[in-house]
Amino acid sequence: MDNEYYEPGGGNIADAAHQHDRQVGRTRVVGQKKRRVDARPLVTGAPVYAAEFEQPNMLHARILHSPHAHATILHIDTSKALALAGVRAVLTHEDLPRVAHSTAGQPYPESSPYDAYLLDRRVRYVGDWVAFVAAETPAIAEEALSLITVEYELLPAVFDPMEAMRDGAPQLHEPDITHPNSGQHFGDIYDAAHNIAAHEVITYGDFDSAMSEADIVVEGEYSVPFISHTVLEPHVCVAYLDGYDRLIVVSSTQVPYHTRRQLAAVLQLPISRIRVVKPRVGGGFGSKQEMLLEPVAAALALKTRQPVRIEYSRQEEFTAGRFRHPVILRMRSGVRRDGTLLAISMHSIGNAGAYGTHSFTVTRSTGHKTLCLYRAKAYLFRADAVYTNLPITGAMRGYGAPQGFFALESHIDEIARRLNMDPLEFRRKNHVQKGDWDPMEMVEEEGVWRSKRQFRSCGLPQCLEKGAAAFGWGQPFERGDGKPIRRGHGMATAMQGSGVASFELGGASIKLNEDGSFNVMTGATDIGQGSDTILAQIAAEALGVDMDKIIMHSVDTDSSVFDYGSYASSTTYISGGGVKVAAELVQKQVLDVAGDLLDCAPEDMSIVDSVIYTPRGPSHLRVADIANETLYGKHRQQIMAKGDFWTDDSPAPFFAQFVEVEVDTETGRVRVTKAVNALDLGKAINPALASGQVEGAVAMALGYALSEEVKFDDQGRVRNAGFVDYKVMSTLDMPEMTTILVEDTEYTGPFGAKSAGEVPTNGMAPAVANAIQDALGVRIRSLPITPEKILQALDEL
Amino acid sequence: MLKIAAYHSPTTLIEAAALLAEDGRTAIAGGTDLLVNPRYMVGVREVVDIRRLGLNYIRVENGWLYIGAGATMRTVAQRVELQGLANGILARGAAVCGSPNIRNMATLAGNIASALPSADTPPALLALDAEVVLVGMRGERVVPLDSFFVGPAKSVRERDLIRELRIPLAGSNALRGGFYKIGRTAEDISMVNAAATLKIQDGKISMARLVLGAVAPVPLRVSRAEEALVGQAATEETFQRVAEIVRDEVRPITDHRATAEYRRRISAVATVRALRQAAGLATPGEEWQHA
Amino acid sequence: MPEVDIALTVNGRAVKWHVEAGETLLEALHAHHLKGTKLICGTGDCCGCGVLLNGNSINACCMLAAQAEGGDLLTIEGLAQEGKLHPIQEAFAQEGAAQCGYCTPGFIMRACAFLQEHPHPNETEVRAALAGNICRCTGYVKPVAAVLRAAEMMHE
Repeated sequence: MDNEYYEPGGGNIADAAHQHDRQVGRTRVVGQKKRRVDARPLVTGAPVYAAEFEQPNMLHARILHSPHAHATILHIDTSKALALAGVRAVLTHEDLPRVAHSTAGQPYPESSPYDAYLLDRRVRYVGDWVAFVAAETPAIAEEALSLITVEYELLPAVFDPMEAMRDGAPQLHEPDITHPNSGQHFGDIYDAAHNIAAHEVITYGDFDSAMSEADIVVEGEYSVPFISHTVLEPHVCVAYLDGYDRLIVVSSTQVPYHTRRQLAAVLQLPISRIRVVKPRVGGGFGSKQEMLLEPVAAALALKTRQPVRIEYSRQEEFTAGRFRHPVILRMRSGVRRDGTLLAISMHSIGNAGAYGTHSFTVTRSTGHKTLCLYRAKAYLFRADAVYTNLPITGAMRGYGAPQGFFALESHIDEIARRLNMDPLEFRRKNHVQKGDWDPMEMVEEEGVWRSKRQFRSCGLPQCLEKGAAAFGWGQPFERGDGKPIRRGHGMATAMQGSGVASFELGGASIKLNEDGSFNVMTGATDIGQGSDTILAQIAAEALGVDMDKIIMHSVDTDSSVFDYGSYASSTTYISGGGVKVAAELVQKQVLDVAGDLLDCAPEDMSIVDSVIYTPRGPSHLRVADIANETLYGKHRQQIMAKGDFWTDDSPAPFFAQFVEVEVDTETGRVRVTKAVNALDLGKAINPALASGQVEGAVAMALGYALSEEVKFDDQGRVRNAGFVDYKVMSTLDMPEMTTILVEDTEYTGPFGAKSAGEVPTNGMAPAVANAIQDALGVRIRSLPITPEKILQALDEL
Repeated sequence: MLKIAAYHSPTTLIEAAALLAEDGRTAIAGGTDLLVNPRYMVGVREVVDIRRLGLNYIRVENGWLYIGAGATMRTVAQRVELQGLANGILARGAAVCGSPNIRNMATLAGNIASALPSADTPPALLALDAEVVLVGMRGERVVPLDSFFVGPAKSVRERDLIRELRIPLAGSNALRGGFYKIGRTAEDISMVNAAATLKIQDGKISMARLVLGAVAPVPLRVSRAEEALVGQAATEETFQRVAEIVRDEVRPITDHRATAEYRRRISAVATVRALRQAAGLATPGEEWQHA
Repeated sequence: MPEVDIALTVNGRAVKWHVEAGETLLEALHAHHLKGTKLICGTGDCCGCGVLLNGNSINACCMLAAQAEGGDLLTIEGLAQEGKLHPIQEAFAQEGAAQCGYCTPGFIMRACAFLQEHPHPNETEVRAALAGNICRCTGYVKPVAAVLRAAEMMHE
């Protein structure tokens, strides 16, 4: 097929391919199912994680957690713990500076209120931190915890956000004005007296007027549960002082640079004294978009001047980690009888837990990231994030969108049913189109509404078409009418962003070695999603070399370029964009030297598979020759460049989810038997990694739909802090899955790519609820859809 | 790291019984319950490993099937003697205990010793009229499993060691069984489980056992339901009637896995489905899960 | 803490370990710098700490190290021979079955025991065999595919 570009006498196959590349932009590395660059250490059990990092004389830290949901610490006696042989330090709030901060791994200034202290006189949830211990062994540290006596004065606690907002409810936080954005849109606690951590309103168009045109108004209230990321590698880090008395922190984090900055603030150290190193990370999903254990290990290392290791237990992950915000969402929309959506509104009330990390942005995202999926004349979105005496909710894959899409996509299905329309048809009629402007980003300037964000690529029509065809949407199937096991079909659509518009910076520096290999030092954090591999493919492609010429270097804040970290589906688009810039600059440096040697204009030359090409074809020079020439020859220099990328944009990936469910009407058990996942990601830099992202996200979302929920007793204690009773999906729960990748080129992204990691978490839950409606004629508006809820709904039929 | 002052690994039953007669000691075999659930380690300072006592046998002798205390769940699940007994209900109960790795470690005797009401093997064992052979300093005693369990994690075992479980085989060729488990996900602790055995002669039920798990402080043999089955035709109608009795007889609690009301309701479903299997009336559509 | 001396074979090598009575097998592995076997839940509920003891896959977190006396232990570190990946490892790498990789050693060891007993499995059997192994990244699609692929590779 490449022969069309083969010119007899003009060169060889490689030359033809090269011509092809130039003419139609065919890629040689990008788009290939390359093996992960870290495959070998992962499959051999090599010690490459923070959990396995060791230092001589390393101490082990443990945290004393509050047994009370809300209390003031009157007195702490640590003398017995300190007297225990092997205990090296015990720290309480009396030993640490009281610095108001947010633990959210967000750019400065964080869009989260400053309401946290490393240790405080007051504890605000069962699991809150009371004291830190460092000892020679984990067992001694554990025993020391039991020797600390704490006298508490109990305070009234509140667990329900609706109650927490009432006058006279127990107040969790005092107002704080130390946030750099104090007095502005975000920064302060919105209404401390009513426990409202954050508040947001987004409107576009005249809602009441649009609603008055509606033939049908549909309303519904939905709720989504408190769930855990259940990262398999718990939060873990080691902190130590090196010979220069600098603080080195080796941590399992998604945000090394934000963590460095926040550590400096909390510990009152200059940033220059801190170095954060990120090895392989055993999963993040947002739970590590957070400074969590780093200051604990660091404070103890500074105190003892010995290396300190701390790792959360599984129990601690389930009680004192970070979680997905539970949200109550009220939807109200108006449509014309012909199926035109006129106005859409969402009011969401999110439970922030005891501290407001990510609360403003997550609750904002429930509407901001979702309502723009549909065209309408008017939009109304209101959100509150409310403090309660429960564990801390923060960032989690999808970041508010899974909550919002459960409500929105269930609601859209309900609207379509009211209209007797195929829900797929309703979506086709109303969904966003290529070229549309984002209604959630509208700003009124002198009477004119402008949007910051345009959807330049939109493969949703292809996702719907290909997904429906692969699934057999609309085809007859055995419904099991009159039998105990019934079947139904459901679908949902979704979108997300690629990075946070205007709030990103990512990239890499690239340096050439003598053998023609390149060190790619990126600030992007591979947390298992495979960004090191993706970025290596982008670098290889842009440089014109194969993958084996790329050496990836994980983040070390002393040597990597600055990067905001891995979250918000940003790595491929933002950091990948920066890597491509760096690679192009490095390639230009290589070609400048080559051009001089070959007497050819650099802009007419290229590199294919490490061979330098001129318009005449391949030259005798390879990249390694240029490296030698620059390191030992006449053109002496280190070929090296850095590339950055940031943008006010955040291109949207699109997703369509189709499912078949089986419902046992006697037990209420639901099983998803078939799933088709169709994702428009712009360009699959690595289709195997991209489909892996989709499959994992869909599995996670299936747990959200059916089984996952952190449950509390009436004292705010977690009742299911372990895998026995916090049920994630197993191999046996998974449906037969088909994943379709749609590539609607995003011209602002590297090689046309946008994002893939989060958007597939958004569709499964509403698709399952919609399929259950199809199977049984009942609507379940609260997650997880447990067997009991099914039977209750059937009883009410 | 568990706070254990000593690890003993006796090689004879007498030695093991003597070790276990002392305060603060417990027997350990697979360890999969003992080491991860603090409730079993309260007051325990020393452990006595019983895996070197030569008890990992399953054998048929003099009309009894003996399952030694060392036999793992996997062995129980895979042995033909058990797969052939009453449609393999005990093997199937064992096959849904935990994960494959757990079944390679956990023992059937350990599942009994743990005495949890939601365990997956006691219903089948009770439906098979199993007995527990205990060994202590006062010698050996045989306790019908029916009177072994006292409450959640409580049994009449005290400091004795379970040497083996035994199941009478007399007439077992005519025994047909059913087992049905309902969990939250495919692999889970049961919200409710049920085991049944029936003998059917000339279309009429001549003998019945019906046992449910996770619906009472101990695995619950529903005698009133058994009585209602005997003499009746093995039909859907009979089973539905019996399910109503079960619904009345169970005493479930509400916990974080399910509400009492839901457990009561699905105990009837599990009953019917286990009975249908025993009577050969089960429809394949119901058999999503392991049952 | 009272200690126990045990003799066992670890990845083909006879060793004598000095362990504490209350030490789990997983803790003993980590103390002896064999950290490829992961601590994920510590309660036997995720199979992330799977190893082979006398050919059977077990969870190292819910077994005392002392109980491994005389045993033949195979961990993830013992699979590759002279730097060459075992076919199961190779299949996991090829299929992209490791994402964050934290569950991967447990999956590979479980697959290792399973494929020894079932050299020609179908997908349903593989799913059942991996039912206790929790993965949060992959949705299990590629790990299941990798085990099927490994079965083929082991016959090539």
